[in-house]
Amino acid sequence: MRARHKIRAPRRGLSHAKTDDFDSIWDVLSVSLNEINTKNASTISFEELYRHAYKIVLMMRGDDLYEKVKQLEQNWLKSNVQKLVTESISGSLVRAQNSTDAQDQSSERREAGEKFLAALKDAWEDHQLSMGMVTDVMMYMDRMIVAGQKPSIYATCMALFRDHVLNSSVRPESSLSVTDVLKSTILFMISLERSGHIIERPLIRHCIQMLEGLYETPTEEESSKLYLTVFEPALLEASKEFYQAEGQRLLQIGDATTFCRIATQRVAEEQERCRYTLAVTSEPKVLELLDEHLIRSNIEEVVNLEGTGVRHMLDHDQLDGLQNVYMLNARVDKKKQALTNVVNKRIVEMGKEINNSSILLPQAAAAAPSSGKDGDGEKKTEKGKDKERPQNQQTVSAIRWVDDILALKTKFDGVWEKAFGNDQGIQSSIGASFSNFINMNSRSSEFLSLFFDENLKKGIKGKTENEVDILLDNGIMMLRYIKDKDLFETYYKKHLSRRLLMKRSASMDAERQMISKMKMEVGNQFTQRIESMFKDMTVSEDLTANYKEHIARNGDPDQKPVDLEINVLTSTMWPMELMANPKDGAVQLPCIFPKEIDTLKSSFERFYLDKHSGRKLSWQASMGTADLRATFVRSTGKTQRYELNVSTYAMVILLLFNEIPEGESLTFDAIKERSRIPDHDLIRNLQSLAVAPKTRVLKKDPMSKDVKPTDKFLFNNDFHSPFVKVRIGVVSGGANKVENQDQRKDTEKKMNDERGGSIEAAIVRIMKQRKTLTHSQLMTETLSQLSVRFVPDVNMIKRRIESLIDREYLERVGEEPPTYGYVA
Amino acid sequence: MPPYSSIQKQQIAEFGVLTKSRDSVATKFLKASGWNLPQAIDAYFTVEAGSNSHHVSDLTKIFDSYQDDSAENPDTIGIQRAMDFLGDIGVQLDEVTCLAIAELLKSPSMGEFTRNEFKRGWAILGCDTIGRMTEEANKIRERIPNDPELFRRVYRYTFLLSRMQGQRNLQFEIAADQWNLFFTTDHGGVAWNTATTPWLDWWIEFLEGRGKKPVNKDLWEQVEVFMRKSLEDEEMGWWSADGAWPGALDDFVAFVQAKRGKDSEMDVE
Repeated sequence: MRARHKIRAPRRGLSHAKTDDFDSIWDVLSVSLNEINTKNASTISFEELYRHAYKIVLMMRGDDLYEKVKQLEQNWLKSNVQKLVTESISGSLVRAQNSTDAQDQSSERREAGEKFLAALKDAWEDHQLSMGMVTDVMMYMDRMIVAGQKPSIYATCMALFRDHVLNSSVRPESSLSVTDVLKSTILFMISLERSGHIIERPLIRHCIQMLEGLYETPTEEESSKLYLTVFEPALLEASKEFYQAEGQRLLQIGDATTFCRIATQRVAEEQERCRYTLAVTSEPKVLELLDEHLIRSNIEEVVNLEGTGVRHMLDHDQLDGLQNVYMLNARVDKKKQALTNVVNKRIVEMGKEINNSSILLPQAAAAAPSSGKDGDGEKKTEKGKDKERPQNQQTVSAIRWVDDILALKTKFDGVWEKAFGNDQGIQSSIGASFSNFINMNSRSSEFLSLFFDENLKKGIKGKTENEVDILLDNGIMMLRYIKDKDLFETYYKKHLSRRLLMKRSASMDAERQMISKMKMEVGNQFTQRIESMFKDMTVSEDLTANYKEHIARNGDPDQKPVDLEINVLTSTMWPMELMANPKDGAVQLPCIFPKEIDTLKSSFERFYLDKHSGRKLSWQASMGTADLRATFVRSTGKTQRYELNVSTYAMVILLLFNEIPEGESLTFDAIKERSRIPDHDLIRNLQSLAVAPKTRVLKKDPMSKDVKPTDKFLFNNDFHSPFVKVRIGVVSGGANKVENQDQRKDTEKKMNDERGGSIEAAIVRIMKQRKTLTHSQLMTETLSQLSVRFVPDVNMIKRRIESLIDREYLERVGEEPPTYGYVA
Repeated sequence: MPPYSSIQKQQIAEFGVLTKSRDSVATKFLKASGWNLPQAIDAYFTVEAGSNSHHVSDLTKIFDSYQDDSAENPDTIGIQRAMDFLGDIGVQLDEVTCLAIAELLKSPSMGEFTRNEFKRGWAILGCDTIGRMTEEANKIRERIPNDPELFRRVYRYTFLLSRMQGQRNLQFEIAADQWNLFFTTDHGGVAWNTATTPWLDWWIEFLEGRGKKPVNKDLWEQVEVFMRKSLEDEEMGWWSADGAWPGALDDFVAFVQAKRGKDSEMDVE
């Protein structure tokens, strides 16, 4: 029907057709146009009509034709279509104009509305169709006359529809126009749909398309679409109201999960509605309103809802809920501030709990009998274990502290990955929160080092390379959060030195791996000293082997050699406080070794100093061990041999008993005098030799736990053990564990001295380069230079600056602002 | 003579008066010092001091008259004669002016003058008789409380002057005495007191409370800066914890604030 027929070029002869032909031709045309309007077009011939119109145009009467057609269509719309449409508007629909309540007489209004919309839609489609045909017929007129001067006949007729159908009054006396009814009806339908009803979407879509196809002005600019001028503002206003109310309603329900679920649904619904029912162009506008009134103004409250908010979701791993919250928050805020805040707060809260429990645990275990009833099964067994090893309680809790934090981190990593879409901003704020509470625990560095110690000693046994890797990575991740990395270094070195010297390390590969990981994380400077500890160990191995060779070649074959395994340590690289007695300020004379050992000692010294002249060897008896073969003579006369693995001091003590007649005893003071072992070590060693139940190689008189100067010690020939090889540990020595208060103060003091040095070095470095610098700049630079290792106390820096001024490395060169100069 | 600006001419004239030298000598020294009068005079006396120049012979005479041990230390006036000299020019030993004279003549230690510095110092001021020195001392006495720059110079020089032999820092007792000298008007200093705050008393009380530690140079100098500031604004609006004050002064601020808090409480009661 609409298909264009091929148009033959008109013959020239027609151009002089008579004027009075116009009326007769128009008569024919007008009849046909009415036929088209009443949908009887099938009976008429397009070609004939076209030719008529063409003729008229050739007669130079195109303008008249244009006016005539316009008049005809106007009459048609006024007399027929308008009536049809207004009649479809029921009285109830007119009355319902002012009611905004969707539920109010909804079914009745809906029915009437649908009827109206259908009528309007039909009228519009008919009009479009008819006008299409009319345009085809009048094509030549459009082209010749209208072009450039008047809107096309099609556009004009569309405007006629706007003026005489849409803008006409609903009732003769009413000021209400058809558009008003249309608007309110569609909005009513939308509100029905928003409250969950199914509505006739295609119908609405058609009516919207009509509004989109009509313009306010004859020039038809995009912005003058009726949809934009008439409908959209009303839609936006209605949406705004709806979402304000919706926000309130959902908040009143008081359930964050529901809120977020519904809000998320709403977003999807609105998108769909705009795409399929209304106009795509409205989508961003409606969504912006939704974001603003439903989400932005409520998200803060929703996130913090007691009992159902983000905190609840985090505690119960409601990933879907969290994801919804994240999506909603991301819609309105690039930084997701509301969500981030709650997450951070929760992390710090949980972290503090972990911190507290690491402090409380030892006390709780001590009070286990009374508090045992509230613990669950798992807790009870753990407490039982703690009681078995009271001295290690704190160490256990230190390691548990790390484990707990790692578990917490894993949990939040999971949430982050699954619910927060790997959001970078949130990731860094989670990190900051962890760092925050980890550094609240003043012993975090020590605990973390103990964690590594425990794992490198025992934890990694039986684990695959991959598992070890993950374990170490986790630890390193915690190291990243720790601000005082220098403190960690101190503890790590201390623990490492014990692992190395006592050969407690489970795997040297893992140790090396750990160092390379640390190097990557905190830099070369940090691991330098730790690496040189390893180097010492390797060099010492060679040394031991070389010395053995040397003895085999040159040694006195008569004398039974004592095997020596030596570790030569560079004193500046190792934590020497380990080896010296920390409490004793006075000079401690070196321990007197038994003759055999002393010979060995001087033999090695000769060997070593021969190779490295100018060095000084000092012997650290407190760190070594010795293997002894001991013979016990039973009262029956039988002998029993045991191989004892003891500390160097214990060896010295035991060998003293070789020198005295069988059955005689030595007092504490006598032992002390003959061995010159420091009191502290002597007591501990005597305790492990004479008090510890399984390793009583000595008898003590009187038998008690404490060691007094007058106590007597006697070789215990009745010593018995189920094993041939007996390892005698030193009471509360050896193992790496949490420091007590005194040790801690000591470490802190040492730390502060060391830091003072680092700060001064940094200040001098900076000033040397910059020559003059204001106080605040110098502070900032110093802080940033040192932040890799630790966070210095501002007052400490100030004191260091003062001291440097005093020692004339710096001078004050300005007052406003305070400025320092470098004194070369 | 090449054309000189009026200022330069004036400087040449002054130089002439002070050193009793010819204009050509004056221009030579002034040019060499870049037209800086004090420097030029310094340079002149450094050159002339060795030779027994007749221009400064008056000063030499005065110096010699106070010189007590011409055999051992021909170029030094010892403590006894120094006190006589100060008395003769009307300067008390316990006033700031005395320290100002010591600064002027660059005394190496308390009550000791050296020949060169003695001549140089007085020559700059154009004094060659006891009478003019007395006049000049009176002028200095008046200037000290009103010329912050001079005050600071004298104050800072005092630190070097008051240190015990071989010590880097000033003993608390000496420092406290000197503060009492400088920071009260009794001996010609500046009163460190404001309407609400007896700063000096509190400062001494504060240091006593901290165990009378020796005072280092930086603290000594900063106390004077601090004093000026506190006189400007006794509410200490200029102070901030991020500032570059020595720790002792930071702590003193807290001390003052605490004390004020207590006092105002007492007022309320």
